Amino acid sequence: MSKVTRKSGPDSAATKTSIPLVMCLYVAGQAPNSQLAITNLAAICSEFLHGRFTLEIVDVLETPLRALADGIVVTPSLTKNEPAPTARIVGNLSDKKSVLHALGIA
Amino acid sequence: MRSKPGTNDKANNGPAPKPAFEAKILRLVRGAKERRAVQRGEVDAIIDPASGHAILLPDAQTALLALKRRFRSLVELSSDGYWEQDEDYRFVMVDGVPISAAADGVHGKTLRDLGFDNLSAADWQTHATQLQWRAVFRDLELRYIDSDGTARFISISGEPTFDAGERFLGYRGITRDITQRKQFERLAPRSSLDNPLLLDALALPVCVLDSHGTIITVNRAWQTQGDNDVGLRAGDRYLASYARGSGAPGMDGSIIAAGVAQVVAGERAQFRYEVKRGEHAETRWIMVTATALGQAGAVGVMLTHEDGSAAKYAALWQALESLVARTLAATDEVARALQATLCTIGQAQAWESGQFLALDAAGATLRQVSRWSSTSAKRAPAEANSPTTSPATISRADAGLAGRVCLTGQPLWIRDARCDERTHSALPHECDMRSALAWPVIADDVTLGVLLFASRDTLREPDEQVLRSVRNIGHLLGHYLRRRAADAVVRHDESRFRRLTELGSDWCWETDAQFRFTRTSLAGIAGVTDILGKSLWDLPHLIVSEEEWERFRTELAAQWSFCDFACQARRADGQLVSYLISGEPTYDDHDVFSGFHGVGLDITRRAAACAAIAGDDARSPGPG
Repeated sequence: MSKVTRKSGPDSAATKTSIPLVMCLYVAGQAPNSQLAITNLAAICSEFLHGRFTLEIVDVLETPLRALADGIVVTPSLTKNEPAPTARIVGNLSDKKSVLHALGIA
Repeated sequence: MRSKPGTNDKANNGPAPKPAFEAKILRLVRGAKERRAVQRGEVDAIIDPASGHAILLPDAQTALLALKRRFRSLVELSSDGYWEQDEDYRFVMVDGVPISAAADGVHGKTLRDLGFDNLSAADWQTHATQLQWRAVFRDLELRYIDSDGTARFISISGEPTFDAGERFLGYRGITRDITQRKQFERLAPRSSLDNPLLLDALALPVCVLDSHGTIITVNRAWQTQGDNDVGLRAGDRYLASYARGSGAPGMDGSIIAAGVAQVVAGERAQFRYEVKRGEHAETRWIMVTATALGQAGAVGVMLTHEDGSAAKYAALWQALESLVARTLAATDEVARALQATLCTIGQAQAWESGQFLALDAAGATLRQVSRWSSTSAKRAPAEANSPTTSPATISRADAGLAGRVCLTGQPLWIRDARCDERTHSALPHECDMRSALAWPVIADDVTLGVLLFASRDTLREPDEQVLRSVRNIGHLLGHYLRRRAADAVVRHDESRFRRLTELGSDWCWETDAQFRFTRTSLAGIAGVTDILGKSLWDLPHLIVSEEEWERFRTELAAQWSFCDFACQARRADGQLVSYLISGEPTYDDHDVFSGFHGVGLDITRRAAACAAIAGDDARSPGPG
């Protein structure tokens, strides 16, 4: 898995802003926490973002230098790159409240 | 929201993490968020800044190893057919087993367009999500009605494909015809398992186990072609045989025994596992499928051993195509790309040596520009990926196996040099081993070279699917080499142009769309110190007639290139300096006019010399 990109969809009333979220999720292949992070993020995207986001998934087992260049040291990690302010969430994203807060949704 | 099962339990009651290891990990992790995540057990890997490698934590490593064992890769599945879809999931190529009975074919249609009648709307939605997320999907079982009215079942699996620039190209995958298995699963419970005619009618090797794991009956296909390495017959204890490793060596036997035992015990409805038998050219891949008959296996367990070796071999080559594409995308340096490609193919297909021979422009000689061998890779794995520095071997372009590949433009192979008559006449210095496979590297119908691999073992006869993959790899490498060569030419041209520009001019300049200078280099115009932000006609020391300025401005407004616009400037000491200025319009990526750029040439000396010559001519007496 090197990249998963979703295009923008219809506007969402649930998001605070109309600017689509640009996120990057750094995972380690199919390791349990990484898979869990993908599942949890997919649930959040489905529930709150309704297509108004772009997500890139970077597998550090394939491209570790990309993660290092982005300042990522552990996986799973999620970065919110746009809109400002940027945010970084570390872990398997099980804490939904924290994730929503960091993404500026809740 | 899912949370990690047992995470908290583990933190409270599970085995304590090894302090030394945790301390080592925490030394690498400096951020507070990261440290907390490590301590919560929510981290899979840490990227070591020193080595640039991702280090898997023990739990993740264990889980990945288990996954690898449990879920074989898509390409390790046996298949009866191959297909490809474009970026809109429409079939563009189907080979082998039919995917549908549609009279107008499947090309241009999506999977959902083909009218399978066993999937619900929710199933299709799930599949659509898989595609949207570019996920690999496996064993999607579909049913359609054949032209003669019988129900046919296929199992379809696919994976996304990307080009070198990571652009999504579509999906491709494999198809298996599972009609016989489905029919048997449907009929067997009613057959009382004692109808040999029914079993013998199946082409698939089948045996039936009782509730103790003993073989009750086998069909004719089992006796004649079914997994002969095992040699189990009616009355033999299947489970016991596999559990003690007779059925399959090592872990495979234990896994099969455990999985089939679960089906026998009614703990699961089906168990599938692929086991590899033999080595090298004799390698076979057997898919073992155990299916419970009746409720919780009460009637027994149906076991099939399908030989999917040919399709598996082809699938491994198809996977290699993706691997090579990714390898080439990862580097811009040709020597490293060639070495990495040889290494990738050599290791994946267990060759002992590989080389790339480049065909010269005249097509007269083949020159070895890169080589790889398994022994050097074992001695120094780091060096295996480094470009070779050994002296290149040069041979005639019509000699040996590689030469013949150049002549024919087709893949050629020697399965076993000991019994291949071509060996003595065609086999070349490059093949001192038992088997070899060589194929052309082609770009735009031009052969650029040959990839040649050799081994001391015999070669499995490549079928059409394998040859197609081999050709695709040749085209991938060919296009890569052509692109790199074109890049080199462009770089060289740019460099040459820059040098010529520097030689042919005294200064360079650029303006914006309002003709105001935005950049100048070197000398500029004599007497003008702050040229930036001004137009040429705003410069105070330039001597140009008003008519000339008017014509010049008109040409600029029309965005015409201009050449050798002559003007003069007066220096502080009062001396006149002459210039020729040339320029051309520039446009941005959206073809919007963005200004001019060009060069200026100081022709003061030339103008003075011309004036002197003209003066001499005027003074000298005319002929006659």
